[in-house]
Amino acid sequence: MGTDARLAAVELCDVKFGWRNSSAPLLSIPEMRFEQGEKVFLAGPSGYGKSTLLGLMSGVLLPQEGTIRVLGKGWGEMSASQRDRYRADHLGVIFQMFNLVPYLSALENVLLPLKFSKLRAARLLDPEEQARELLGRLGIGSDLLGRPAGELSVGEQQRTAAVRALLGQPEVLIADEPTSALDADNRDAFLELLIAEVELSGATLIFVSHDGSLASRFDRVVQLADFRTVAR
Amino acid sequence: MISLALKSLWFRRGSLAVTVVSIAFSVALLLGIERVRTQAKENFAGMVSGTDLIVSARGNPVQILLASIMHIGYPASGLTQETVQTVCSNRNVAWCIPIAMGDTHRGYRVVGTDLVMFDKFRYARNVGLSFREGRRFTEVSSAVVGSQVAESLGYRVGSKIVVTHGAGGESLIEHAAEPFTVSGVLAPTGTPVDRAIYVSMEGYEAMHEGFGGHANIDPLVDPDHAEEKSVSAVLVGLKSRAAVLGVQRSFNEYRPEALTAVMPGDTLLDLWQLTGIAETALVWISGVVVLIGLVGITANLLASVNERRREMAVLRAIGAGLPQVTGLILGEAILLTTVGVVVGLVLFQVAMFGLAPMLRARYGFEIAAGGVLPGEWVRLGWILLAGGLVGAFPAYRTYKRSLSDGISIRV
Repeated sequence: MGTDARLAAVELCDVKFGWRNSSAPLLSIPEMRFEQGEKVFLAGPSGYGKSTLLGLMSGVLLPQEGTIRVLGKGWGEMSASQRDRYRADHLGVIFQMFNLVPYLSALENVLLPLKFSKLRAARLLDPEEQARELLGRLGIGSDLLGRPAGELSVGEQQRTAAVRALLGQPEVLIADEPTSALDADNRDAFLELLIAEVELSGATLIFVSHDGSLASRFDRVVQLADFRTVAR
Repeated sequence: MISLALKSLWFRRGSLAVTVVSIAFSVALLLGIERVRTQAKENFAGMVSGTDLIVSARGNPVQILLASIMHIGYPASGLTQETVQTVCSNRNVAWCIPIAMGDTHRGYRVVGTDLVMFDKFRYARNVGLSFREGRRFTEVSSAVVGSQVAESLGYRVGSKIVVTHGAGGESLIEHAAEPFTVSGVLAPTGTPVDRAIYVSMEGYEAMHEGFGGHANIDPLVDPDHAEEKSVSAVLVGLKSRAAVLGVQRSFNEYRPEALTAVMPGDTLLDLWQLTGIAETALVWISGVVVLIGLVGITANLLASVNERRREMAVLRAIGAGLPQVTGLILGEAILLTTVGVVVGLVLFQVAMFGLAPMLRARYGFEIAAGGVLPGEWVRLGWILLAGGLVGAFPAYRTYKRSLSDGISIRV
C-alpha cells in the first residue's frame, strides 16, 4: 500500500483521557503500538474503557493529553471533517452487534463506506462485483444480498459487517467484541474467516474481546487492565 | 447521503406518514380559517360598496347596517314619508333607495323598494344588478326574486308568491289573498340580494291593505299612508363622497324625526371589533393546531433519535461526519414539514373548490377558491421556518449523543 513499513499502524503516546467532571483520567496509556499487518488481541473485561480506547483510536474521541497516530498521522492534527475522511479511508470497524443499517440491504451496507471514502472506492475496479465475491467467501449467498439487513441472522450480520470493514482494503481493522453475540460454532467460523481475510489483505487487526480463549490465534496479546488507573 | 436519508424515511414511512398528515391537516385548517376570515370581510365590504349612507330611525349603527344590508334583524321603527322625501331631496344626494321590510316568504325576506334600486344599487367592485330572466317589477303585484330564492323555491317568471307577515316561522299570518307574480329573476351577486324578494313600495303597502281598490293610491298624497312609516331605511348615494360627513351630520340633526345616518364602511369596522374576539380566537386555535402538528414532528424525531442511536454510531464509524449525521435529522424535520405543508396546501385547495359552491349556494358567501394569497405564503413560510426550528432540537440531541457515544454503544 505504499506506506512506510516503519510507520506504526496505530500508535498512542502519553495518552490521558477522562470524561468531563471526573478529575482522574479513565485511561492513561504511556505507550501502545500496533505494527502494520499485526494481529493483536486486546484483552480486558467490560468496563475497562475498551470502547473509549476504540473511540480514541478511531479519532471519534480526542484525548485530553498525548497523541494518537494512525499510519503516522495524528488525529489531533486534523480538523473534524478531515478526521471523518481519514477514518473512512483507513479504518474498518466491526461492532459487537447491530453493525448494519437496518433499512439497507446487505449489499448496500457493504458498499456504504465507499461513499465516504473515494480512496477505498478507487482501490476497487468493480466495487459491487468485489463486494459480492467477498460476501460469498464469508458465506453470504447472493440470495441474501437484496434483503434488508435487519432480516439477516446475527451471524450473517456479523459476517456482512466484516465484509464492509474489509472492502476497499483499509489498513486498520478494529473489531469490538465481534463474536460475543455468536454461539461457539459461529464464533470459531467467524474468527477463522476474519483472520484469513485480514491476512489476505495485509491489514492490521485490533481485536477486542474479554474471551481469552480466542487469544491463541493472534500474534500478540495486550492486557488493557495494565493501563487502567481508576478503580471501578 | 441523500439517498440514505430517503431510504431511512421510507423505512419508517408508517409513523412518518401520520406526522405528515397531522401537519397537512393543521396547515389546511390554518389556511382555511384565514381564507374564510379575510374573504368574509371582503364579502361584507362588497355588500355595501356603492352606498355612502344608510338612513334609518335612531338606533345602533351596527344594528341598522345588519338589518338594512345583511338582512339580519329589523330596524327599531320606520320612517315617515316626509322624512324619506327630505332625505332624498337633499342637494348632495345623487340617488336614494327606500327599503321596507318586515315580511318573509318561506324564509326569504320580502323587501319593498323603488325601481331606482335596479339602476343604482352597487355591490362588490362597483357592479350593478342585472337580470338572469325577466325584468323589473312594473305592476304593484309583481315581484323580482334573488337568484337563490328562485333556485331553491323553483321560481320563474310568472310564478305566484304568497307572503307572510313577520320574519320567518309558520304560524304567522299569511296574506293569502294577495299573491305576487314574479316578473324577473336577478343574476347571482354573492350578497344578501340573492336571498331577497323585491316588490314595489306600493305593492308592499298594498299587501297589508289588500290589493282590492287601494292599489292605485299614491302614498305620498294620501295622508293615511304617509303616516304608515313603512320605509325602514333609505340607502343613499352622494354626488360627491367628500360631502359625506356634512350630510351625515345634517341627517343626524334632523328635527322632525330622530334619525341615524350610518356610514357603512365605518360601521363595518365597528362590526369587526365586535367579531374581533371570535376572530382572534380562531386565529389562535389554528395557530395552536399547527403548533401541535410541529410538536408531533419533534416527538417523532426525538423517538427516532433514540431508536437510531446505533445507526448513527455505525454511520460515524464508517466515516460520516457530525455535520452529516446532524444534518440527517435536521433535513428530515425540514422535509417532513415541507411535505406536510405541500399536502396541506393541496388539501386546502381541494376543500376550497369543494366548499365554495356550497358556501355560495347556502350562505351567498363568495369565496376565492384557487391560488394562494400573499398573506398565506407568509404564513406557510413561518410554518416551514418553525419546522426547521423544531428539527434543531432532535438534531442537537443527535449531535451531543454522537459526540459522547463515539462509534460504539454498549448494548
